[in-house]
Amino acid sequence: MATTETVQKVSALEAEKYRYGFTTEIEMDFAPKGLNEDIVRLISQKKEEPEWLLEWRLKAFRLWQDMPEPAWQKPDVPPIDYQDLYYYAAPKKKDGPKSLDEVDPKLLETYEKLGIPLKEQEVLAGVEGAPKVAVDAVFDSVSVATTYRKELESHGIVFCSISEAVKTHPELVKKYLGSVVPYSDNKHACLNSAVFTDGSFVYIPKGVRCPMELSTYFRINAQDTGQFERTLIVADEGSYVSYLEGCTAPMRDENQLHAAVVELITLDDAEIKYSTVQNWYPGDENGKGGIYNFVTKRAACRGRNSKVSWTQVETGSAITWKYPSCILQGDNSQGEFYSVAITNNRQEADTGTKMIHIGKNTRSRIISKGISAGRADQTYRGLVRVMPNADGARNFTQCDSLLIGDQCGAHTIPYIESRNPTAQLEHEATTSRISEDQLFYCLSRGIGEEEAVALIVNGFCKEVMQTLPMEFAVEAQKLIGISLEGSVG
Amino acid sequence: MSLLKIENLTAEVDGKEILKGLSLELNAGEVHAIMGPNGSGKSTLSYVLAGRDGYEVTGGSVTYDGKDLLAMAPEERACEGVFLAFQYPVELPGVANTTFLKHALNARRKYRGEPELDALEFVKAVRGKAKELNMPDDMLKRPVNVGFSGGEKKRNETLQMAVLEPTLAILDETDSGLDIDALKLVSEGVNALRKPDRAFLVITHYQRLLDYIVPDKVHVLSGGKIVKTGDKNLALELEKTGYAEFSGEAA
Amino acid sequence: MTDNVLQDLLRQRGAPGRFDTGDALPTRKAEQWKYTDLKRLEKIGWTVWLAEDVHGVVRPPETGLELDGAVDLVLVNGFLDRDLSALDNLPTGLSVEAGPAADAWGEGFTERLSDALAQEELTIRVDPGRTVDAPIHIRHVTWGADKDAAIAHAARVTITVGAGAEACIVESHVTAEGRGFSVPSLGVSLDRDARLGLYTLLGEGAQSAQLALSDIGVAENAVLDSFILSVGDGLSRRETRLSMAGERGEAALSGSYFGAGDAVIDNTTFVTHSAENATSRQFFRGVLDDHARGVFQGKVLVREGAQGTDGQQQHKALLLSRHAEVDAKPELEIYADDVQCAHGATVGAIDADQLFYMRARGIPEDRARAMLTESFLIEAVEKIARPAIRDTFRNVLSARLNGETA
Repeated sequence: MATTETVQKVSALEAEKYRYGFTTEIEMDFAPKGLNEDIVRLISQKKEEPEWLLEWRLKAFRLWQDMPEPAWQKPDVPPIDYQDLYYYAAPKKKDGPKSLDEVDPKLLETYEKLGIPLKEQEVLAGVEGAPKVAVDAVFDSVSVATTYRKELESHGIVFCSISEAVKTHPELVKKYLGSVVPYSDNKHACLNSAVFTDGSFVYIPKGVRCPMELSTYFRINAQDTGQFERTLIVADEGSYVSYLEGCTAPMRDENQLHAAVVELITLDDAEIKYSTVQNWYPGDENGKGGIYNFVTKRAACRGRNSKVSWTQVETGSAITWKYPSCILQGDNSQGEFYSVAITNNRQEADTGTKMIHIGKNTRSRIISKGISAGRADQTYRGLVRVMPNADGARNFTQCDSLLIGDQCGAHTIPYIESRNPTAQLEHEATTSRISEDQLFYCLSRGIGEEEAVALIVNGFCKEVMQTLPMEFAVEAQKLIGISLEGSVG
Repeated sequence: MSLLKIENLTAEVDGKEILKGLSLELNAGEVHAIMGPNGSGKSTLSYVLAGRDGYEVTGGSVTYDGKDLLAMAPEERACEGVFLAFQYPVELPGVANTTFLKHALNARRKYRGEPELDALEFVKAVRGKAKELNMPDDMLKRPVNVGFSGGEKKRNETLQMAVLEPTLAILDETDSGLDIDALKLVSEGVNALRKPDRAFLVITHYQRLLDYIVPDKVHVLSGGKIVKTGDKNLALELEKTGYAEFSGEAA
Repeated sequence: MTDNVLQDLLRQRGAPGRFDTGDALPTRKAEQWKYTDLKRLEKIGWTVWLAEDVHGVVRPPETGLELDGAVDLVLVNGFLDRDLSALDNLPTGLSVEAGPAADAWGEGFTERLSDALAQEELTIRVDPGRTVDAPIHIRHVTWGADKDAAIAHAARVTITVGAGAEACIVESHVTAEGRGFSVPSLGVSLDRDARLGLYTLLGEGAQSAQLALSDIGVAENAVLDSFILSVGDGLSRRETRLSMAGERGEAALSGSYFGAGDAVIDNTTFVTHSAENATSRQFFRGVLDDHARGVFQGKVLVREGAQGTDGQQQHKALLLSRHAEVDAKPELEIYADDVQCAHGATVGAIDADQLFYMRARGIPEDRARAMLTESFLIEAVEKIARPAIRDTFRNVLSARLNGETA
């Protein structure tokens, strides 16, 4: 049977297909393994941080020590030995690169291999006529390069690493850091607050429409390293920015921890579009190795008519937990969540969103497409909450799961809470598999099986893929192909 | 005195002005057609007359039978004899057609100080009218408009009109989505209801319907105003020339 | 009385050690009790009756559901009342027995509470191949010595419908005097090719509280049609576990609820498909007014190998008041690929188009709202397969919505 064959082929996916699995030999500056107050102080000192930030980190660290590990999620996570990780790993450098020319050529090579343009004027491979993309590259713990800064500065846009922003725009960082995700939010966000080493900072001034896509590329390279980046984006009144985030890591037998925090703030009439293609190393076919991707992403739509749109394509990581959320405070504000998650082999993903309707006439839309293959397990977990004053709130949620093979699992756990009689909430979920009919129809038109599967899966995800910026859509589509197609090769 | 007098009516939807000073007079016993291109304000006019929320009157007046129509709640207008045949009749799952009609009919009787009909009298009143419209009994038992075809929905609207015996019937694009047989059936139903103390306002995009329901007057609505009025031949003329000539004026 | 309602109850009952000394009522921190707060059970001096207390002091309830030609089985404070029950002329193929309760219900909070409190167990059997036409009406009565008496009880009923047999069971709950905290548990097994209608009416007053459990097994080719109508003003939670362990079994698990005042109505379901080609249908409708709260937690689990499962779940709710709340958590957990599983959930207000359409036909707004509310709930009642029960439940619901007591 065609389906059976496909299932076998998909389950035969081998880890070699992870084309980002190389490591870069580069001289690194490590802090000692393990975590204690001294390490927190050391990180803060290395970053030459002001006192208030150190205090904030220490408060977070002290709270973190007493916080229990979360236990509500679907995947069983083996206990993490927090003392066996490096919390600070940076490529060795003298004074830090002033321009791209000073960046270690080995690093540039790494990003070239990844297809990330760190030279201005370059565009992503394979996309003709693509617009400019400004890139902030984060290698293990620190930002190594940010492109197009001059052009952005001419619009008053701040795009730099967060450690730099602490120095150059302390008032903005102090005002907004932790204002959407407080350090006490959850165990992983708390750890991040204590030990975050870098990440990107974006500020779009009033009325400015950012003239290019901003992008951060995260790379975990060093062994036994945790990556704890922190991203903060503030869109002032009437501004707009589209922000892209990509992630890869080399193949390692051990699990590596990635506990990031992303905070977005939109003021009146502002809009942020945040897109992620997450392709951390997923581990091998037996579930050995791979990244634990425990990320807290949250947006506060504080202003009237403000909007945040999250799009994610999640194909990597051994275990993913993330719930990019929107707190819809401003009247008429809008939140969107578009997600494609693919799990194969032994991967596990527990992902979804929270939409908290506080302001009047707030709207949210959730489209989630989950594809599970091999022996993988995937959960959509989402919350839509309408508070008593959110008159006229609207939500639409559609969650579809596609199962490839009879050894995998797909789960849907929505929480729908309404306390306002004028709100309208609608949730639908379906579970299905690639039908023999669909497959046969493709085959009978001469389309090869692996291509047919990719075609059908891409069709299944279309609504989400359409929301990605063009430069990313091409990469994401290929990635879906690789995640499942590699299997059939 | 005219039955319906609309004077310099302006109305907006979502803050956008749709009717921009519309005036019209209609006498008892007359049938007037309102024709116009898409977006000219035809449906807005019908909803304003029926009192739908969200259609905000910003100026002008509508006098119906000597009374201020705009001051009345939708159900009051209905009880006063205004009937809107919807372009898209609404589905009411779980509410049986007969139950619905009985409530509507008795609400009107109560309003007029007439005794309410008991179940038996009511069934008698409805059955005969349903038969004339070629509506099978099971359509009466089914929930209002649920699972009805386009033609069945329009027939159902006509049945309601027959049962509720309005003084002013507004037909909003009654011909939309109907094949020729259904159109004939519905038109015959409407024609059977024509009488000297009843007036019709027939809103349509196409002349086709007016072959069956022949109007006394035809108004052209464009850009939220009546831009031309004539007899039934105006409709035939429009059929040939289209609305292009009026769209210019509207802009 | 102390705040620990459990300890008080168990002390009176002289109950076995199902609870630790420190046990308290579950709080909303527990995932299973996230939406239903049991605080209102605290600080009430609940009394547990023992068998000897019941004997001879009970009189027939004056209110409750009347069903034509039904076999009445009356349970007062959880004990079978032989005088009030029609035990003498049972239809052929039906047997009814009462005996001591066995405690083996499980580890959840409600299960442990039931195990600790239940004293008597009623066993109903329908012999294989027999059809019992008359509905079997289990009437649960709470009876206190006076209107201030607070009685806690845990009726326990097990029903076995033999292979190829057919029966219809209706459960109703009334409080004759005083206020009740009832923890009824119902174990149902449908043998292969059996057919069972199982209908529950909950309509007790604002002072009452109920935590009910049903555990239902559907064997090969068996068909269950079940419905829960909740129109009470107190707290009622019903946890239904349905096991589709036989191939081609079919089950409908539906309900309508209307909550007003401070009512809390919680329908929690857990359907497990472990056999191939079985079908389950859940169809719930709820309307909440005043300060009422509605909860729907529904889970469908499809185990590995349960190919061909068809599991559908729908919950729709309307809020009529600014102080009402509804919380829904429809859950799918699926480990087989050849399945058709879907759920839908909506929460909203009365549809503005429908309201306008009715008003445009002359129906006053209040009346139109009432009709739309009723039709919304009736849509679920229409799912009841047995016409006589469907009519009865429709009437009960209408009466409740029109302000009459059920």
